Amino acid sequence: MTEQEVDPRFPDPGDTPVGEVPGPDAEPELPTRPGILRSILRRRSTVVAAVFILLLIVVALAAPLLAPYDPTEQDLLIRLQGPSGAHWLGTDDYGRDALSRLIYGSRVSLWAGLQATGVALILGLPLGVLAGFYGRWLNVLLTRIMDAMMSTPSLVLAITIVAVLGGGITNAMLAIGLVMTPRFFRVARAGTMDVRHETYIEASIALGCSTWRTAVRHILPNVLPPIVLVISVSLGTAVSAEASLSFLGLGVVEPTPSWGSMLKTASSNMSLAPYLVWPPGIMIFLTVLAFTYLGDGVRRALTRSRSGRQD
Amino acid sequence: MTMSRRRAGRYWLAFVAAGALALTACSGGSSNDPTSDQAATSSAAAGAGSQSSAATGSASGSAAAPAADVDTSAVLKFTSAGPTRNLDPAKQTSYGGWGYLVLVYDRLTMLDDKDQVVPGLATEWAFAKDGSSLELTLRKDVKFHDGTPFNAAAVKANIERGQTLEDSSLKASLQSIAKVEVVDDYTVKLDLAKGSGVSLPSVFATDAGMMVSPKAIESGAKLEDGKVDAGSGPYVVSEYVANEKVTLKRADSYWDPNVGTLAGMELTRVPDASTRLKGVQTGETDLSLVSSANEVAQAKQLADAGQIKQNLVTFRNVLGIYLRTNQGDLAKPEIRQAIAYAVDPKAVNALFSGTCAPTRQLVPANDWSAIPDYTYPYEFDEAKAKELVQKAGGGKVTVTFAAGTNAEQPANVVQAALTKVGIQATLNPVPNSENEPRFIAGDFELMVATSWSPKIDPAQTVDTYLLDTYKLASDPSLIKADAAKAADPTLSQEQRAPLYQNIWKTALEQNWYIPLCNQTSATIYNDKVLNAEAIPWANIGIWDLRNIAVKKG
Amino acid sequence: MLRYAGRRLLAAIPLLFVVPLLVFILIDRAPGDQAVVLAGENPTPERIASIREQLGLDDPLIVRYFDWVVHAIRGDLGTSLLSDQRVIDLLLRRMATTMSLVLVAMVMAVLVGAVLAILSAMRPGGFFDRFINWAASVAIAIPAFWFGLVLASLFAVTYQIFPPFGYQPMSEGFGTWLSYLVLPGIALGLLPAAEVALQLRSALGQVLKTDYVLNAEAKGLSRPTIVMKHGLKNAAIPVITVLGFRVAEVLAGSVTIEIVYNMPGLGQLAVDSVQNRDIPVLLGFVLFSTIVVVLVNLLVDISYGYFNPKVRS
Repeated sequence: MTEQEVDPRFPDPGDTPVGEVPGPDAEPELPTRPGILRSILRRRSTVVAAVFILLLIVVALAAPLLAPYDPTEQDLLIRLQGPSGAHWLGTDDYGRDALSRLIYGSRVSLWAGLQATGVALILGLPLGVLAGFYGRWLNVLLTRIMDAMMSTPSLVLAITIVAVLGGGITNAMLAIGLVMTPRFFRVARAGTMDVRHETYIEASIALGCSTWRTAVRHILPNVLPPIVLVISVSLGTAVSAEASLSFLGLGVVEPTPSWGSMLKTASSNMSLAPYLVWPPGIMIFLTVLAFTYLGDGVRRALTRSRSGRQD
Repeated sequence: MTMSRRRAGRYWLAFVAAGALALTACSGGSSNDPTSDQAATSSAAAGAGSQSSAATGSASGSAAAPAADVDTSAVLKFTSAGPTRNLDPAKQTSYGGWGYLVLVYDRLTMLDDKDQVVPGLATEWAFAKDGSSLELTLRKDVKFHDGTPFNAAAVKANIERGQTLEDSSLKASLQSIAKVEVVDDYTVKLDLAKGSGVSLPSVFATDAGMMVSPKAIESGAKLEDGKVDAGSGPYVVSEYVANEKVTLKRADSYWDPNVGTLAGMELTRVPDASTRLKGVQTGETDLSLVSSANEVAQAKQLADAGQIKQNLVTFRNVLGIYLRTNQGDLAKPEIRQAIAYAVDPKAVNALFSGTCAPTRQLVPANDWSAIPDYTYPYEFDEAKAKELVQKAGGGKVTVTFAAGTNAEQPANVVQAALTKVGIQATLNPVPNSENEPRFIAGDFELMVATSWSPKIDPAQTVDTYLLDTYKLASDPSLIKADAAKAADPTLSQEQRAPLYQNIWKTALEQNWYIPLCNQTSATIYNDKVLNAEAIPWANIGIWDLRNIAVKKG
Repeated sequence: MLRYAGRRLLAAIPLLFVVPLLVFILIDRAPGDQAVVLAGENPTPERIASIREQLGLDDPLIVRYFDWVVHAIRGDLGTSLLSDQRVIDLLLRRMATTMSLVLVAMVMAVLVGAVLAILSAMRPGGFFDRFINWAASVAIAIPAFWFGLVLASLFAVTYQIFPPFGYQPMSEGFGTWLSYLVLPGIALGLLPAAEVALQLRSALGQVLKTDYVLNAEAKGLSRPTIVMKHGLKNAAIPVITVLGFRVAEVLAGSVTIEIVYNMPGLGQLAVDSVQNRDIPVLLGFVLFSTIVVVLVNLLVDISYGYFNPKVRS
């Protein structure tokens, strides 16, 4: 039962992304596309995760409508007050409404996840396809570089980049995105190499189609499904990483609310306002969990459709 | 005015004599009076009014701890956030490190806990009638720890070292001294650059007055790592780890037997205030200082419960807003006035749980140069601020502050307040080591900081903040004439005071600086520690622990 | 085998120099003049110039970089701009704290993870087995630093069972040392504990299906005896490999945990050096952590090669 589900080389969305997180290039097989969605939706945990993430997106988009207060408005006379009818989750050390900040914080978390994953995708996917397609020295060179990036202590790299470029969510996420790039690279490269010498691709090249066209038309569709899995896992990693960096004071700039910076506040007011520590932490936890379960669902679906094809 | 200086000088003599008498009494073992602590404090408080009578206060202060009660085998454990980059008095880039040095390197003058200048290695000082020189009379009974005698030649060597050492941090402090002349073994005459030097007696109570053994200076010994024993203070360094720990042991002999009564001290740097508080609470630490609002409030709770002792000191330093009124939108008078109107010192006080007393002056209210019955022209008024911003057609400003310091929260409050009145304000956190130097270098237009530290002499305050280092006076011509006139050492305090009051008024009207409040520092300690309620420098966030002793038992 | 290890090591060495080069390039583009910062409250132009000269800030980037490399090879990482301490001393002293933390976290992870896995394996598919499997996969999503905050809030602030903050070295007594490490150790150990539980349970499951275990069962040996005697021995190897992977991750996680618990370790040093732009310390830290990660990866690779000869070719 459980044994096949656990893969030691599978990237997990732990606290912080780390150098040695081998990509899931173990399964670069091509599934048949229409079957995937159905098989993803067959698992209840995956559906719950997807619904949670959808809700989160709705909350983030509708934050101004949902939040009872302006998340940056201070009222210093009601600092650090526990949950009440007026402030359901209490107030922070500037008298700001914790619930409103939590709601607006979902924007930062999702946006951070998108940015970091976007950077990793934009860098990793084309480079991976390129390396897999051309092979030879380019493959060797790019693989070496990516290996080096993976061996770099990622939080150190992120901290350095933030230190140099200054705080702010974009810089932080650029850093996290860079660190996650090799994951995408590896999967894209493996997926490309798998089909590189298939007859239809050789034929496409022989027919005089540009390599660019070949790559987009024939290779990308085969690389994308496993990439979807990496995207889901990476989103979770990025949400968690953003929280860590903001907690260290290297992420969002005040007064922008983020779950990580809310935890920073909670940490420095722990004895006076212990209630502040729960909501942001639980939200980070649930979001990361949801992305993990979604990724897990995708992975299972891919595995299933692969084995289905083989049968 | 030279007269009154002279008179002050005679008081110093009287002080030394009184001190000597007190010492004899102590060594006779007759002053076991448990109330002498309080007596010392109250007499010091009573003497705070004028410079000369303060000397008496400090005299009884230093004689307060009765020798018989004092545990001379105790090792005091002290923690603070003060950074200590090195132990060379001439290489201190900020005053945070003075507290570690002062126990090893005695100064020419000292400050008492009421900010009065009292004798140190110099027993007397007097300006020449024409203000062209300052003459110091020195103690005759002092030897450096390396055996070299302390004398006029030593003073000369030290001042010249501070002025010429390649990376000396004392050049600005000592620039008013044109020449050092050895009159006799124990008299030294400092020739002053014209119209300057009035603040020297108080400057000598800082790192600029710390005396290093001429032998060490001559040999070019490296003082940074504390391995060369070149001071003459009550303690010597036995172990030093920069920015972490200074371990001291008592010097073999010291001219004031009431000072340096501990067998040793361990001064540990603990940047986190809650850890320091915890240390005193658990008994791991004997004495510490905290100044962040949460810890001051917690210290009060613990003190009320009798778990620790605490003494609250209002900071001399001001928490406020530095403005470069010639940069960006701050060049518009409406915008900077709007900023002054928009920020409510009471809100900042609430943020600090009532531990930041609102102030609207550039010097402490009891300072002789303070403006009597002052009304700040831009008292908090949100409507007026909004109106001004509208008139200026909106404004944009970046609020810089040192991340992770006491300025972080007020900066957030300032940012919110400015946003509320229609100014587009963004926060710019920078490393703690960078905000001041880079503001000085002109990198930032507006900075919220706790660093405004009124010097003992207003001349130095004007130089440091308005005209020289910080250069806040974007139009120096408004105050230059008054400043030059007031820096004349031949003038009396009464003559200088109105000039400074004018300067302060101009600075505040021009919004070169917006003062908000004085924070509170809590000295926290256990009941064995003596004299902790009267630690000089505690009101600028550092400490002079020379009088600290530990009770027997 | 040795040739394989040697080849891997050689491939890893350039990395040690490429990462610091990246840092050099990045720092070169940073706003703010280091010399101005160091000049402190007396930034006269001549003082700034002399500091620039002293630090060689006027040299071209590549000269500064090679200078640093040459010194680093000799074991000299320079002195901290902030404290004037030798960087190598700083790193070594701080390492004791971080290593203590990582050690306690890993020991807890192995103990807790192993106990849970063994208990699960006793009755495969039972309620406990399924619960642990679920709990462990959920636990992996818990941010370690938040878990640390919650633990501190509950067990150090509300119920004052453990000291809330700080660290005491072993020289202050084993009990004292441990008392400061229990909460941060649990927080940091949660993730590897969950992974050990999952991995070991999985490995045990596979081992327990093999013929000789089935034989042993047929011979009438009790389930606990089989699990402990045959299962654990054979299941340990893949678990050790997983732990190898996680050492680097735990090291990275220690940064936030050290901040939460205010422990004077490498992570705090790194954050401090970033906040104060103490470049020599930051570079030293980067080099140091790269070495650790490379070494750990190398060990994992070698152990892979050892257990799986195919990799070696």
